Amino acid sequence: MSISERLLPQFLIIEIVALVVILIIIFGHALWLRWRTRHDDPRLASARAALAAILNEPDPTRCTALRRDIERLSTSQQVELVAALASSLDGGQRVTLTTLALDLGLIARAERHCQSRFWWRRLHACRLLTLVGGGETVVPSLFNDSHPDVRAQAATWAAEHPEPAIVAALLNRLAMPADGGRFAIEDSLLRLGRATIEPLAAYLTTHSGREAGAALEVAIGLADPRLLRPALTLCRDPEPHVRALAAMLIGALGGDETVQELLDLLGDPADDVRAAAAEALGRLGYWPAAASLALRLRDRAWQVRRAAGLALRDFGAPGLLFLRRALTDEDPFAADMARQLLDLSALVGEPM
Amino acid sequence: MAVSFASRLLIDLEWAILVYFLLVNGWYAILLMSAALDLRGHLFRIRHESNWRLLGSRVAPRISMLAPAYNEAATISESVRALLTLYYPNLEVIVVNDGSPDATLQTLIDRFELVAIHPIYRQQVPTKRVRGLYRSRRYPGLLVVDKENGGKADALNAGLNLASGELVCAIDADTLIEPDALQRMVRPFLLSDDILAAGGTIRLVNGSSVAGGRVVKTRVPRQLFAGVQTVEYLRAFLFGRLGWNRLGGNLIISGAFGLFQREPVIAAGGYTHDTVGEDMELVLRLRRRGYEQGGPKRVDFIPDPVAWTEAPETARVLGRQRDRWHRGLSDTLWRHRRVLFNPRYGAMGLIVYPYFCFVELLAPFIEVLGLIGLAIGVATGTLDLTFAGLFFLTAYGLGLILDVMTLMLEEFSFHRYEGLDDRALLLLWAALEQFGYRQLTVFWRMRGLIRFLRGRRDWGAMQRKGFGSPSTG
Repeated sequence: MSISERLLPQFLIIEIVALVVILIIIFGHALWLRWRTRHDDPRLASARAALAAILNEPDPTRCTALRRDIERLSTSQQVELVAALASSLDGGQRVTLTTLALDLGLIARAERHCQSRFWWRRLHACRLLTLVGGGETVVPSLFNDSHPDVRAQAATWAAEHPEPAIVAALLNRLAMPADGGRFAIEDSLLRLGRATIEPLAAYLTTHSGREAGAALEVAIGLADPRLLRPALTLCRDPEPHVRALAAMLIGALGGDETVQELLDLLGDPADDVRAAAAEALGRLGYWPAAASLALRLRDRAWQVRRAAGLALRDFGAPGLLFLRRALTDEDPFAADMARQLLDLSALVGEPM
Repeated sequence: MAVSFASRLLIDLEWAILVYFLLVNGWYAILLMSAALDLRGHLFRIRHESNWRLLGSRVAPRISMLAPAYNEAATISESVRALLTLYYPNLEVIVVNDGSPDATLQTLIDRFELVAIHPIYRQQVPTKRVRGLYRSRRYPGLLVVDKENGGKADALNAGLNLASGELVCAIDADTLIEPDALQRMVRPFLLSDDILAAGGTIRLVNGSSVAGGRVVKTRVPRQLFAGVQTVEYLRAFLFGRLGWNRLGGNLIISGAFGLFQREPVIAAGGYTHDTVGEDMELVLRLRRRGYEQGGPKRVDFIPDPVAWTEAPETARVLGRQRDRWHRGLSDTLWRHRRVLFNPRYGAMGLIVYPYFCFVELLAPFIEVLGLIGLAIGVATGTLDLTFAGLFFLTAYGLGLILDVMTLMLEEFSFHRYEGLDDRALLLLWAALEQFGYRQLTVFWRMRGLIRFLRGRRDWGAMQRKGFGSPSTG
């Protein structure tokens, strides 16, 4: 008997055994799921009803019996129950839910898990603390966590904690270009609103270049007059991207100083900066800038010509006058842009 | 003497092919382990995840959905309505009517109250002439582009020129996207700046019930070809693509559902026209540029965003599809042949690309060689029938084990098919996939390879039943 004739049946037997084992696992799991659904669903339903009753009950002393239904659940089921409801509650009901989570030991457990060596445990703990509150002593350390999901979740948690130290920590993370996860940080800073303004103004005063870029995006969303001074300074930043963002910010703030700065930026060597300045002037509706913008219809960069043309259109009659004149401009690009915009002028009010 | 030599040659050939099978399946096993690890991490990641922050965010990245449509009058209205109701806060839907001779455009105009507009936009990627642009009065996020026929790639490029989103999501107009799929798909872009593109899972709608552009009840198809393709798709996505996340990144993002950063796609010149594998070609080109110019180059597969598509149910249409896919693969690999074993492209050049060449591209050729050798051996009496049977069972048994392990991954993760009968049916389709269907696909893929070598580049027609009524397979 050759080696092939001996080996093949052995291979086949191994395959058959593996196949049978996998089939047992699949169907075993399916049956277990079915059993768990039958067993747990009634308990979960009564716990859900109990939780709804607790949240609507003004007298906490009358909740003891109701709470038993929740206490009977496993910890993971309790977490699931609380987490499912938390994001849709606020005010008194949210406080009741937080108290309940505290009494059930869920918050203490989550705070312990924030120091776990497993990233997923830290993530789930931070997620629960974001939903029900708590974690002031442990979550800030997760801003520097080694796992990006945990860092992002910690930034999300921060949106409910308007303390200056937390805002400063978020701004510092924003400055790290390789860090990723900018979305959660920017979102939290915007949600923090007024609490962000002063630290953000201070940050923009002391930072420049790439470090200031992401912070300017937040500043544009907040558009508070206290941000004007650092924004004007950043209009002179060496990075074109930062100058463009600073132009957008001062365009959102307005004022005499702003207009002069934007007119200067129309002559910036970077295309994006000129386009941002033209767009900002259009948004401000500063029609005396129409002549300067009309010159930008001859710009070598398409996006600048477009922004200048749209700004002129936004000015109404004075802008349209310049656009009509541009139809006979010796520069074919300026004439073409004016033609396109005047086609559009009949449809002002249509969504762009 | 001659007979003995021929016999030895055939046996050696069979053994060489079995060793190839073992090597390939060994690599599949590594992919499977990688997929299992990634899936475990992903399930941890999405547990108790709440997307309400993203839904209410002012900084959620804008997504432009690009839906090319050609002769879709029957289904376009339902498909677009489903796209407009996706749960994402900053969404733009761009439907590109690629010169359909039927009533696709008129249907859109009537159903969505479209009005002509004249936006000032730059044609950054060349396309066939755009005849008109329309915006809906009722849905401000809907833009319709009417253009001369130029094929799917051209239609996507026209959409790219008009898109205002940081991210673009390329889909087929007849794909059904799950309502929360975009929230899930955008996740890696929110966490990292190095993500170039992300792909989601494609599942087959055949056999399931559809209402209002949504899959409301998931069932395993009862029809043979749709059934075996269900297993095939699960294997391709749940371990094929997921496994590559840790082993050098994906080369394919399905044209039916993929999310890309817009700027790199435009900088790379958009989709290529003269290929039938434009989705794979784009990913490979983008990744190459990432390595060559230092931009983002990560392409991740995310298993939980799901898009549903209809699979062909007849051998003729299915054969044409597989033939086209293999021509697309051959064409893309040929265009980017300089990547092969090129250390400049890191794991993509040293692991991923060689895998696609030696396994995905050449596997049908080697499999056919093995099957022919086996048949000749048995016919001439050179090989013992029992040996041949054992050989056949062992070789394809490995494939079956991988199939059922994929079903196990599905069972422990998303278990979309709930009933015990559906699970049993999946196992039946897995068995039939290995013994019968797979040999057919080998033939179609071989045909595709030969046609590619002969220079054929057409798409062939794809007939669909549509999602209008619940399908029973």
